[in-house]
Amino acid sequence: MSRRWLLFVLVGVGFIASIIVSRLGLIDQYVELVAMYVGINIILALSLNLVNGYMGEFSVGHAGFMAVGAYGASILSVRVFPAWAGVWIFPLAIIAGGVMAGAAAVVVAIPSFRTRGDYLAIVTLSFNMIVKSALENIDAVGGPRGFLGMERLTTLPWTFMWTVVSVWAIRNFVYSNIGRGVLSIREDETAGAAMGVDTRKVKLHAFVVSSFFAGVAGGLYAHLLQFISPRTFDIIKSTEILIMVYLGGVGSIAGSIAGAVIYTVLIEALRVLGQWRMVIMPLMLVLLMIYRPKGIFGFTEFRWFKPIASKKKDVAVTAAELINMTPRTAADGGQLLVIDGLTHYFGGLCALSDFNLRLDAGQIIGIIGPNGSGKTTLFNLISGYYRPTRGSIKLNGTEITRMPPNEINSLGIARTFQNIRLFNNLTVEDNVKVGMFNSVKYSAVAAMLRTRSFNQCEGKEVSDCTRMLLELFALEKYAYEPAKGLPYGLKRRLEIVRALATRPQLLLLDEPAAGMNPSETGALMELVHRIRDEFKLTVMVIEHHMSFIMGLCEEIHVLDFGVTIAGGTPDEIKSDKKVIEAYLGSSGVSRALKDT
Amino acid sequence: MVRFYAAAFVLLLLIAGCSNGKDDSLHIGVIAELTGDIPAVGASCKNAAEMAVKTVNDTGGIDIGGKKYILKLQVEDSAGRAEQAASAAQKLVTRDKVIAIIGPNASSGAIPASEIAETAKVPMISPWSTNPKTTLDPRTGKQKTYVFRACYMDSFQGRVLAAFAMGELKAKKAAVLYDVASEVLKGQAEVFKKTFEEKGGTITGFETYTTGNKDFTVQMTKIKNGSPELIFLPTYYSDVPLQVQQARRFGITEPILGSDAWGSHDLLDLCGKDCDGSFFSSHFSANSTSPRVKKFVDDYKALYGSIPDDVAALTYDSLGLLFEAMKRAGTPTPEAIKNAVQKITGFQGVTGTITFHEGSGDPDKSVVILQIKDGEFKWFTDVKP
Repeated sequence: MSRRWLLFVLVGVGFIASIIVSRLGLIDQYVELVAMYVGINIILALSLNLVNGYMGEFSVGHAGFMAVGAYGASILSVRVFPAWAGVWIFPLAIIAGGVMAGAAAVVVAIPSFRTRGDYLAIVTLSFNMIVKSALENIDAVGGPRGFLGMERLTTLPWTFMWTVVSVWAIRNFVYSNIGRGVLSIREDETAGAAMGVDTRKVKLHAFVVSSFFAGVAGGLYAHLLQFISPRTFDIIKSTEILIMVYLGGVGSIAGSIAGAVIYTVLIEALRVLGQWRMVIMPLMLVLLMIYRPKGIFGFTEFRWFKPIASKKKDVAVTAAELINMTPRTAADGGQLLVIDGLTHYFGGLCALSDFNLRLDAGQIIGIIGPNGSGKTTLFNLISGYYRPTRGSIKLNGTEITRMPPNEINSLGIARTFQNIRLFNNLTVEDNVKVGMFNSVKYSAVAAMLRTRSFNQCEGKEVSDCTRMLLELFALEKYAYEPAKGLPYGLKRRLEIVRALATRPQLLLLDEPAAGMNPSETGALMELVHRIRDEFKLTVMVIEHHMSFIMGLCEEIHVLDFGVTIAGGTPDEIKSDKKVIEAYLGSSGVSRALKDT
Repeated sequence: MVRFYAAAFVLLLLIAGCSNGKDDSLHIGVIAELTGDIPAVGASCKNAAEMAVKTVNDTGGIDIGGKKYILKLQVEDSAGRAEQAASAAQKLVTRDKVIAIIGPNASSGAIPASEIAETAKVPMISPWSTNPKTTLDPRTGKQKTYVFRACYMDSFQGRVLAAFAMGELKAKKAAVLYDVASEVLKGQAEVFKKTFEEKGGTITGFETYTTGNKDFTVQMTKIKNGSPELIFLPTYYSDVPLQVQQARRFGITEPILGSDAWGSHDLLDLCGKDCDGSFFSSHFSANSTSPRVKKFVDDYKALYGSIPDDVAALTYDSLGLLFEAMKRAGTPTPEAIKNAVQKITGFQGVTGTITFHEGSGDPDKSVVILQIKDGEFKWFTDVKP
C-alpha cells in the first residue's frame, strides 16, 4: 500500500498554509525570513548535490552561478520590466536568471570536460572569482557598491513553490535516463562510456540543470534582500553551500533538504552563543566527517523521493523484440567486423602488430596468448579506449577506428572488463538500465517534467526490457540490491547482462571465466552459447582457461608479444607447433590439451 | 525514520528556546560584525555600545517623558554577511521588539538591514556605513525616513581629503591605489580624483587591487614611474602595512594619505615605523584635548584596556544621538524617536558636532585629520566642510 498520495496532499497543504500564514501574519516575520532562507538554501544545496553528490565531481564555485542568476533576474525586474508588472512578471525574471546561469554553465562546462576532481575544483573556483571580479568592475550594475532597487517580491508562498519545483525537477532528473548517466560517471566513467553513455552530453546537462537552479536561488535571494553585491557571492557563500551538501549527505535529495534546514536554522538558533556560533558550525561538520563521512543521509534516500517500483509481474517483451527495437545495418557481405593491419604502440613498445581479422555474424571466436601478448589491447582498440597507431577497424562496413567508446557502443559493440567494472553503488536494476542509455529517446526536459513520452519509454523500453533481461539471467531477485553486494559469479553475469542491455551485435568478453571453478565455467559456456543464439550475437572471448576456449570457440587466434602466431579451429591450434612452443611450452601444452 | 524525528525535535526545541519574555525596560538592538572578515570592527562596536548603555543605566536609566527606563542591549552578530545582517535585523525587530537598531557597520550588511528597519518603522543608526545607498531609497530616489548614520559619507571625505592634500600638503601631483572590491574605498578614490583634478592637480596613477591581494609590485612600479608628490591610499587597515612597506622598498618616500579605513590600532602594530609621517582622515581622534573625548577615552580604557578606535567612537555617538532623541521624544515609541533624531542640531559627540536636517539621514559634521607619529595616532587638524 503506497501512501504516496500523502506527499501531494502535504505539498498542497503546505502551499496553502504558506499563503495563509504570510497573509495573516500568523508567524512572526523573523521565522518567515528564516523559512525563506531555508527554501533558498534547499535549492542551492540540491543544485550543488547534483554535481558533487550524484555526478561525483567537485565543484566549489557554485556562488558564481548564483550571482549570475541574482544579477540577471534583478536587472530584468529593475531595468527591463515595467514597475507595475513586478509581481506578475516575477516568475519570468527568476526563470530568466536561471537560464542565464545555465548559459554560464555551458561556458564553464565545455572547457572542463577533460578535467575531473581537483582540476574541476580549480576551474569552478576560478569561475567564482571571475564572476565576482567582473561584477566589481561593471559600473552599470553598481560595481562593488552592489545593485539594488528590487521590490521585495520573494514571499513565503513563492519560495515554497520554487523549492517544491526544484526538488521535483531535480529528483525527476536524477531518476531518469540522463540521471543514470550522471550516476554512471560517478561510479565508473570508463565503464559508463563503454555502455554507451555520452559522458560529455551528460556532464553538460547536469551542469546546466544544476546552474539553472543555482540561478533561480540567486534570483529569489536578490528579491528577498533587495540588495546584492559581488561580495555576497564570494567563496564563503560557495563554502556555505558545500557545507550544507556534505552535512546533509551527498547523492541524496533528503540529505540536501536536511542539510539546508539544519545549517540555516542552527546559524540563527545559535545566535545566543555570540561569536562562538561560527565556531560551532565548522566543528559540527568536522565531527560529522569523522563519524559519518557521507553526511546524515549520504547515498540513502527518503522513501517518498524514490520512484514507485513497478508492480507488474508479467513481462511483455522477449529477447527477439529487444534486438528488433534497435535495428542494425545488415552485415556487409556477411562480415560483421573487419580489422586490417591493426598496430598499436605504447611509446616504443609494440603492443599489437599488424593484426587482421574477418569476423562473420554469429561466430564465437577466442583470443589467447600469454600475459602481455596484447589481447586486452586489442579489445581496447576495438571498443575505442585506445586510438591505434595504424590500421583500420570496420563494423558492418563503417569505419569505427577513431570513434569515442560511447559511439562505438551505440553502433553495436559491447564489452565486459577483465577486472569487473560494475556501478557498485547502483542497484542491479540500474546497472542494466545504464546499458539502455542510447535506446531512450526522451529529452532531459521531458524527464524533468515527467511527460507522456518519458512515461511510455521508461515503462516499456526501459523497465520491461530490464525485467526481461534480469529474469532471463535469474538476477531478478537481486534487482534492488546494490551491485557491490552480489557474489562474484553473479557480478560477472551482471556485467554481461549490462552489456546485452546496450543491444549489441558484437560482444567482447575479457576473461569472463577468471576466478571461476570448473562447474561455474561450464555454466558460463552454456550461457555464452545461449546468448549468441537468443540475442543473435557475435562473440569475441579472451580467456586463459583452455578447456573453456576450446569448448566454446569456433575459431581461435593466438597472440604472442603483439604478433599473431596462429589462427584456426581449436583442433588446428591444438596441434600448432608455434603455439605449443611460444605460448605454453611443450610440457605445459600437452598437459593442458590432455584435460580437454 | 528515528533519525528524522530526532532532528525535527531538536530543531523545534531550538526554535522554542529563542523566544523572549517581556518586561518594562527598553530594548536597543546592536548588529555588529563579531565574526567574519572584520571582527575588530564588530568588537569595537559591541564594546562601545555596552559602555554607553552602562553609563546610562548607572544613572538609573533614561528619562523619557518623566519616566525612567532601564535600557537593555541585544547584540547580534552579522558575520559580515548580507543575509545574516538582514536576519539579525528582522530578529531584533520582531523577536526582541527593539526600539531602535545601532549598526550594522559594513555597508553590505547595513543596506539590507536598513530595508528591514524602514519596513518595520524602527529607527536604525549605522555608526560606520558610508555608502550613500544605505540611507537612500533606490525606488523613489528619496531618503529613507527611519535610517540614519553617525559618520560622514565617502564622497564628502574624498572631497575634504583632496582639499587637504592640495592645501596643507601642497601636492600638485598625486597617485592613488585602492581596493576595487570595496564599495567604500572605490568611492573615496573616485571622488578624490575628481576633486583633485578639478582644483588643477594631476593624478599620475590610478591603480587598483582586490581584497586579499598581498603583492603590489606592479602597482608600485607604475606609481613610482609617475613620480607623484603624494600617494593616496584608501585601503583597509589590514592592507595598509604591506602596501606602505612595499612602497618604501620601491623608494617611494613621498607622504602617504589614507582615509578613515585606516582607523584601527592594529595598523600601528602591523606597520611599525614605515607608516610614520602618514596622514589619514578619521572620524575621531583619541588624543584630542576636548574633555568630552578625554572622558570617553579614559572610561573605555578602564573598561577594555585599549584605546577606542573610530568605530567605537562612532558607535558611542550613535547611541548618544539615540539617547538624545529618546529624551526629546517624550514617548518611547520608534516613530517619536525617529522624528526626534531628525531634529537634532549641534549634538556634541566625541567625533564632532553633529547636526541632522529634516528629510535626510546623513549628518553634517567635521573631518578629523590624524598623523602617525612615533607609533601613535596624533591629532593634526580638523577640516570643516
